[in-house]
Amino acid sequence: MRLELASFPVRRVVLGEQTAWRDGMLTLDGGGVRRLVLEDPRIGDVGLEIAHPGDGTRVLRVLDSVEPLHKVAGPSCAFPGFNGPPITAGAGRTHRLAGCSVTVVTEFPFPATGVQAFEEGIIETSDPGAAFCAGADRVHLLLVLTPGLASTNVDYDDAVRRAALRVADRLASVTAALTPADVETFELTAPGRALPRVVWLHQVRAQGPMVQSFLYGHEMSGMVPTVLHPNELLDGAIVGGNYKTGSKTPTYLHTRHPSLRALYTRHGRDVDFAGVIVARGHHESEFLKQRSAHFVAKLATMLRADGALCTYEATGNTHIDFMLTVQALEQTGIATSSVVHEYGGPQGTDASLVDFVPEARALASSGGIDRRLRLPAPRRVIGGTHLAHRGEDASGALDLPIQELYAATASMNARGWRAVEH
Amino acid sequence: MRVVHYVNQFFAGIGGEDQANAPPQARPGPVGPGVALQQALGVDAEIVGTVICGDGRFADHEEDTAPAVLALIESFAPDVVVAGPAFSAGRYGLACGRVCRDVERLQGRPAVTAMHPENAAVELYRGDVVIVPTAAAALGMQDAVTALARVTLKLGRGEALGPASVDGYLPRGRRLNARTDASASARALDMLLTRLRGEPFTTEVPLPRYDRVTPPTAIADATRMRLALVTEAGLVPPGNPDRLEWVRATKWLKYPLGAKRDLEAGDYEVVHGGYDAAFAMQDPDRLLPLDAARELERLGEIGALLDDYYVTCGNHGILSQMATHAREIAIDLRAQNVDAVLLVAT
Amino acid sequence: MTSLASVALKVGANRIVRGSRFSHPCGQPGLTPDAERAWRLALVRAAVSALRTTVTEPTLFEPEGSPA
Repeated sequence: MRLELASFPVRRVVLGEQTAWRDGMLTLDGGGVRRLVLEDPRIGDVGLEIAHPGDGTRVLRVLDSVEPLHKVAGPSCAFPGFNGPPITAGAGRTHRLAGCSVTVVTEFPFPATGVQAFEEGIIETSDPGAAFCAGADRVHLLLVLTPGLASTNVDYDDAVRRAALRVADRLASVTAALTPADVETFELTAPGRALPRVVWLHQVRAQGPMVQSFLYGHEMSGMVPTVLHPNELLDGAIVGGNYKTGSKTPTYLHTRHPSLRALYTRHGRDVDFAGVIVARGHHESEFLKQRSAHFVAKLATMLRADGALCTYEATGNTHIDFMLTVQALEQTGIATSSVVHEYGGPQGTDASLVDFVPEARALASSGGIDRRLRLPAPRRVIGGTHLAHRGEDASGALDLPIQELYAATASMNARGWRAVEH
Repeated sequence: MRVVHYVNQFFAGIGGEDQANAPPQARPGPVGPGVALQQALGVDAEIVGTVICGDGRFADHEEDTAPAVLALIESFAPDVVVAGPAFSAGRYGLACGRVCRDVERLQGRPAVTAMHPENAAVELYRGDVVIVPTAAAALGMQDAVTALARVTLKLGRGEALGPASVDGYLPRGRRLNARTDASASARALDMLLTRLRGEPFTTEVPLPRYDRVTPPTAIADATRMRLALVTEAGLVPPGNPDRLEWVRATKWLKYPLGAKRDLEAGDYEVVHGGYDAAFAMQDPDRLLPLDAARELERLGEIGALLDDYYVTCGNHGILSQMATHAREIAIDLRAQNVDAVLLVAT
Repeated sequence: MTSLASVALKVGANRIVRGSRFSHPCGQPGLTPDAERAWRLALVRAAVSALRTTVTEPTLFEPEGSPA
């Protein structure tokens, strides 16, 4: 499976007459984007906003953030299962608007409790928040949506996701006839010599409605672990629908995950990248957690893996699924090394991990997520006037734990944060 | 930069164990190891005074002696205080730890000490005091003084210390965020490849150790037991009247069960961002098993159920905060002569 | 009482009774109401029995009839 990924970097987005990309500038036909979104009657209205890195914007109520991808040649489409049939993706040629995101801003129409209660996602485009939150280093087309004829929150969520993916594909498609600045080729060619075979365990959150991840257009909450070629992820085979926003993996990080990039960079050099095992976390009981853990270990064995690079999405009891999986892999004789984010309280003095197994001897830290940040008043606020949960006036300074920023856990991994002993 | 140095009677040259009762006293300028310390500090810092106390005196009368030592230190108006190095001397180490802690807490001045990592004072003071690790014996004086001087200068300039491994002190149990050049995934992959080559590697996250609590004695006679129901499931009356937080709760609450035999749908709601509450909302006994507990009470299998149930929300709970909740709830339960608790965790 | 007994063991809870699911440790929505009530009674009985048992370290009590 060979994928050519052509990058069209976006440094600036402006509204104009016709959608076009040129020299890092993406011009948008606002009317056309609006019509595309409003094709779905479940969406009542859409406002378009643009945010750039460092421009002092605070965006509230952020759901997903998607890097525009468009399939130019090959059997599937980008975001298979949503933008076309669930045909195996990862081959041919895909165009991407690099560094650009279509980002959805909305609230759900119906009240909900428990894990389905709406959780705030805040993007700060300027420091100090920008250093931690996802999306701060990207140019955003923000779709600020109002619910329409949606019958349930899940129904509206489906409309929102499809709108973002539709727009993402359309935007990237304007580059179809253009020559890219940069083309990367991704292929798991067999290395000429024996190198350690390493799988990536990508544990995602799929707990149920609103805390969901999608594989080829279908929810992952009922699945047992499965194997993907990394190119499938590059083409958008996994779409994020987990709205526990502080610890979510936005779709643009599923398509550009730091684990995938690290492994592909070293494939053939000092690693033989053996594939991606996708599992879900937050199983409802220890029995189900154990069952999933051993499926992962079995798949890794069948992939003849020597080692597993392990990461997980979200936090809380999903640590248990993750640690049991690390244990199962180690017991099978597959060496692991894992990325964990840490708790530790505001001062970093409490225990770091929710759960652990003695076999988790090789852990890389992506930083403490409950240290607090003081955020100065922003220049402008998009997505509401008050924070959804805390009720605070969003135009002022805020004092909050890092994990209330958008996709902070995933982003802190990508940005190289870690916790160190003082 | 004004530095004050604290040493014991032995290093001050007063005498050994026979002089261990030497009272707190001060001398101008460096004394004993202070001479080498002054050399290591260089021209930017001056040891303006040395405060001395016998180890026995400090250990036997700590509560009187510590303030006296502190007053002598303060009389020199230092920018930074150095105590030791104490190496593996137990009483000296404890005195250095206490002096440094009090200087920081009561006088708001930075302080640093040095000792062997297995000195008993390390366990007691490492959370509060900057301790530079040394060899076990005074043979390691030159290295100790060099390392101490580096930290002393930084503290004296009012600079925050960097990571323990970089600035050369024993970790104080605080983990602070720092940015590196590589993603955590890339660092994890490095670690994995190191492992697979069979080379030594160091985890970035040491596994936590939890306290053990001695189990309370078994209940001898359950038929006379007073039982309380407690949960972190966030089960509260509708409308969440006391505004329990759905995440990182800062409070615990108690609500009367009254004559209820069973928890009814509609009488409660769940304030907890970590689980799907649909099944619990259909029948809150699925979280707090009141119907079953009442039945055992009726059958005489347990003595009595406490009138109130206790609740907080465990979602993303800050550990130290949760420990405080637990202590406060336990005190409240004790006051009501509760013998046992059924704690339901989601 | 928890469905996630391994964590309770690790953090040092001394008497642990395994519940059914983390979103309803004392419920089994798949059973008929009568059967669910009977199971819950047995679960709380197991907790009482655990309280009457001398333990010296974190100990897991597995009640009968609890789902996997």
